[in-house]
Amino acid sequence: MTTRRATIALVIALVLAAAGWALCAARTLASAEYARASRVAAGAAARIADLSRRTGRAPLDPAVDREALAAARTPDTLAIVRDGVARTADGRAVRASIDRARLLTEDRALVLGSGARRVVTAPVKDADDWNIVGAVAVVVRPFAALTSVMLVAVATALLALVLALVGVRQLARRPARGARGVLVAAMGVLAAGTTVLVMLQGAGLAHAAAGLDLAHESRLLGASTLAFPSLGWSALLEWIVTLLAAAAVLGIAWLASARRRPAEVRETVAAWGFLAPSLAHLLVFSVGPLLFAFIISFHRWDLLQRAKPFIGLGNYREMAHDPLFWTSMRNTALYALNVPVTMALALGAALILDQPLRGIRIIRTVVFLPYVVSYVAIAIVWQWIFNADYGLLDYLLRLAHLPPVDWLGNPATALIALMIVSAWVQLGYQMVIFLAGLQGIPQSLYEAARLDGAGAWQRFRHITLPLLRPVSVYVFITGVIWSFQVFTLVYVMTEGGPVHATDVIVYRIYQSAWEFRRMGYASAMSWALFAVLFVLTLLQWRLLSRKVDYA
Amino acid sequence: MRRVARGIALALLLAACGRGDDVTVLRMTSWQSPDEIAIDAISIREFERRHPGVRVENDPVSNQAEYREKVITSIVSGAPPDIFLLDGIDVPAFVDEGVVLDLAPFASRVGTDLSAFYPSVLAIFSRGRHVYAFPKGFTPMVYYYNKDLFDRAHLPYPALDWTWDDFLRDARALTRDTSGDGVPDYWGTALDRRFFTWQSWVWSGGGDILSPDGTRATGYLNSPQTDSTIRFLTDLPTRYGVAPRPNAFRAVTGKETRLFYAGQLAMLTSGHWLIPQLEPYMRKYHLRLGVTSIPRAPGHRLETAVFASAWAVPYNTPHRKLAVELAAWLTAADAQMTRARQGLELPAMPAVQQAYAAEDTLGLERDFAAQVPYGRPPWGATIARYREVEAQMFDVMDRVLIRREPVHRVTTDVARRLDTILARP
Repeated sequence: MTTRRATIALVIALVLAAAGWALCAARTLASAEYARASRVAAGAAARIADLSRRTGRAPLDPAVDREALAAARTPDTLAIVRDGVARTADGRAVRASIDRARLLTEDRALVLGSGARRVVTAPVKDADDWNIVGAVAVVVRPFAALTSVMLVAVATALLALVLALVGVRQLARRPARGARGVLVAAMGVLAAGTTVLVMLQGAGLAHAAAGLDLAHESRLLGASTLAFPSLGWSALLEWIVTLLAAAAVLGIAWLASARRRPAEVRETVAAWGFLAPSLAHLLVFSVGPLLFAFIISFHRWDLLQRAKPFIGLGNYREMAHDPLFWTSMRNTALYALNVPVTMALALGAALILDQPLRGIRIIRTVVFLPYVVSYVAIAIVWQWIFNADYGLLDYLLRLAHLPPVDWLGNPATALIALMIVSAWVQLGYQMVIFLAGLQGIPQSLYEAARLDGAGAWQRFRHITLPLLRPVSVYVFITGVIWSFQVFTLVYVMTEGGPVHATDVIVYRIYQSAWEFRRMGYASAMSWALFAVLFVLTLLQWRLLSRKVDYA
Repeated sequence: MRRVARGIALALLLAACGRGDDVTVLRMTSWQSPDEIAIDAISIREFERRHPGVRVENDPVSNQAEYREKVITSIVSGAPPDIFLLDGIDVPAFVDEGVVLDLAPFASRVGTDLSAFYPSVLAIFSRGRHVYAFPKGFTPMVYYYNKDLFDRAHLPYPALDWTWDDFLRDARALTRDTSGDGVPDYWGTALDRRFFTWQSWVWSGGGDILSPDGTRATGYLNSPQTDSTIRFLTDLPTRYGVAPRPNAFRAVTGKETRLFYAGQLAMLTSGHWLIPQLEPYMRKYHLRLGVTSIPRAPGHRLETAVFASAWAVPYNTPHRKLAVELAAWLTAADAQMTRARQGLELPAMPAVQQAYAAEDTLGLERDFAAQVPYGRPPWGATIARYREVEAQMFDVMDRVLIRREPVHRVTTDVARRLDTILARP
């Protein structure tokens, strides 16, 4: 395909995509505005109910309405709907056709009227919050979501778009790059467009959240302290937008700092275009939660409690004195000892299955299979194998005239039993990695060794083992990290028992967070686990960055 | 290339998010099994018929731990179910934090007569005049016994007022090794380490695990009465050899119930929820069963834990009125009778219970009803940190049974840990 045609295709695609984005953006803005308006309306309705309860006056008493609307402190046009007519606090009628029957029967926010005369209503109920007697109407302002933050967001995205177009132009001059270049540019455009959408969505959500008066809601509920999310959506999203904008500024600075060669610009744009999806994913789903857990770990954080007081290092102090935390850490470390054993087995299996025999692939697949089977299924099957009364393992022991063992019921063997399962699962995976490592060793080395009269063992000892070192380090460290995160086997097979013999750290975190509703404490333990894993990862980097000597 | 680009654009164009129709959807959730869902579906269909334009979506989570996770996060994140099933032992957590609506002011408006419920069952979900959920049913903890095994051992059936001595005497007489391999083939009873199965034993032994106000365990969990109860129970599989070695995990393996169904276990403690499983054995395989109370220590009063669940309405449901109406509908006499006929639990209303007992064909309901006056709400219904307390109670049994530590040392140690948990803000 010629570059010209590719460019035309891209422009068409861009126009279509832009139309799609514009539609979706408009929809996002509108739905955010409806959400916000309905929250403002619901807030005002709640205030009216609250005031009428406290003053003993009817909910539709004009004095109550006036006071409640004044207290709402919002730039919106608020009106009270009585008998099908909506009037503002100063008596002005709002032009909107209101379906009275619907209003009085549906206990939820409604969008009434049409076109520019649209309002969102929230029902006002009688003193005990039961029958609907009227409604609060909020006039919808479709573009209220366009705040200054949003303008920055749009500007950032436009910049990304321009960068992508620059990339396209550069590519157009180099027909040789052809279709691949177009694809790269398209990725950049896609990233830019998605950024706009995400930001609009974010701004819309922030906008909707702004209509929610948390402090007032919690007072209505009789709570004296802070409302539910102490770190609000809006704050979080503004942070994200700010960070993205900062990244854009850095990008401009990079472009402006020196006259870049077009190829350099193109490569950088392409690189970030490719990185963007996984980077965004990483930021949103890994870095974000990690930081959030860090914040939580300094609070007494019960999901059901409105008050989430800051307690400083309280959770960490408790952790240091919690015998169960240390038991679980010790168990986890012991459990990780399965890794070297599994590795030895996996290496053995790899050496055996590295032969060019018939059907070897089937055997490899069979060995690998456990790794892709659901953990819960594995756990249930092994629970049966380990059963002391009718389990397969004890049946075999009895056949061999050995005393049966209550594998999972005995604190001395329960963890070992789990390690056996773990080895069985991991064996195939590690074997595949080792196989790849074995196939990467140059055959010439073996031939040379054979000529020098080296035996099988010597060849293994002096060629295979040393050259497998990077693979072994990788398998070992990832295996240990994986072991530290063991959960499903424990959750399904032993639930930490017997007598905490299989109580591992992730299970402890789960139990604290969800059974005991202690998110703060669970977060503190998560950070302890993170620290351990972080050190292990650093270790892996160091060990892997060392070069293997082929001399 | 062009086709790809156009495809991408089209996909983006179509990504515009769809909207639902105009039906009001009420969402309910519970940890009920598919069978139970089917029972409620009958009542739900009738509710929908009476409320045109309303659709009820039932979205259960079968695992109770995951269920709690889901309910808590959905309420907290502002997308609550309209009604949800509240377990008696979760009442403090949900009620103390104001997460569920006080239904008392609405009861009369939705035609619910609060005085029609068993007061002791309603009390689990009430705080003073406030009622936070409408109970759908309950069960006291009881002992099921196999009449054939008693007959074969020429033993009289257990009386409702039996004591530990009677229990042990019967259990010993019922434990028999017929194959001569040194392992009994017929067991007198079974021991379950889960606390809810032995809480009633502690009470009926004159002890308790916590102080009456629920703030301290030391002096209660390690009191002589509680110690002796734990000793008696842990002696059953060890010293007396009348029960099989208990399962060492929190999850059940079902071994004991299987033995019981097979007629190889004479006495098993459980609740009414076992009936649907027992029924086919009773009807098809002529398993003859009776129900009796938890044995009490001589000189002490029988007290048995009552477990109940009820329909609650989150404070932030968008359909308050409909939600309360649905909760009331699902706990009305008709719905209770429908449920009772499936045998899962006792109806929460005495009138319904009597009507149901009158048509009972298994012959167990009269004895179940006889337990009600001795019913007592479990600790879970009153203290907010119960889940943590309950998790520690496994250690009591495990350390005595598996590590063979002396009872008093274990209870004193665990009591100290419970004190720290209960003292925490």
